[in-house]
Amino acid sequence: MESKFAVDLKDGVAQIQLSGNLDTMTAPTLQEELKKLAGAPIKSLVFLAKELEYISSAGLRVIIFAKQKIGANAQVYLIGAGESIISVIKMSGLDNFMHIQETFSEQ
Amino acid sequence: MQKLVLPATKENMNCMTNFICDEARAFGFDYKSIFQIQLAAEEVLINVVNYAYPGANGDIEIRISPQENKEFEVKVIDSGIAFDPLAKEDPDITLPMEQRQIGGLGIFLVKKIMDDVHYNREGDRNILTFMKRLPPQGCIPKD
Repeated sequence: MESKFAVDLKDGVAQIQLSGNLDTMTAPTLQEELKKLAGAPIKSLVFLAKELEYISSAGLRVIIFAKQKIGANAQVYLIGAGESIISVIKMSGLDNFMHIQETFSEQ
Repeated sequence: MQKLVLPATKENMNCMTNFICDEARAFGFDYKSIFQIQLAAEEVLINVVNYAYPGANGDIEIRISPQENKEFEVKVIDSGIAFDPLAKEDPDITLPMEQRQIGGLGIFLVKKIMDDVHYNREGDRNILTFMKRLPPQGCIPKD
């Protein structure tokens, strides 16, 4: 699958569509996309991961970057991620700081 | 033994991780294990690409040795500056995202998902070895 990322902001909810691989090679593309959100008031950072097949530490760093630089006061969501992706998130201890859901429901 | 030698560049990352994953698949690992092996491969290789040869060009050698005892062992070898990535302190994964440091997470994950990871300096070469055991296949009878 091709790795594609798209960002959409509506009413303070930033939806970030992830597909394919989020790794060393593709993370800079996502980081560039996320810069579009800089300066906007954001209450939720929603990573849509149903079509995400793989993530490495480079991908985790982009999620951390998004929280640090774009949505400091935002809630972070990970939606529809597969078992292997969630396992990496848990190993990194990031599951304690985001909502992991099947479908998006604002908390 | 399977062996691949390529210049240590970002452009070769996919080629090198694919080489390792193809061997892992042939070895009999399932999807979940391949995911973990791909992750370990990427983290170890990008470390070499980014740090082994500052301001210079150099190669990465990958060696995969068949083991009779169901152990899949990968050696990543470079001739760059002496560097033990395992010596670095593990990141504090209890910290909220706002306080996270950027480095160290990759190698930490490798240590968590592989059955063994170790570093050797031999002559002018760095050798990082990671190993994963093939999980038992099929039905396991009750004792």
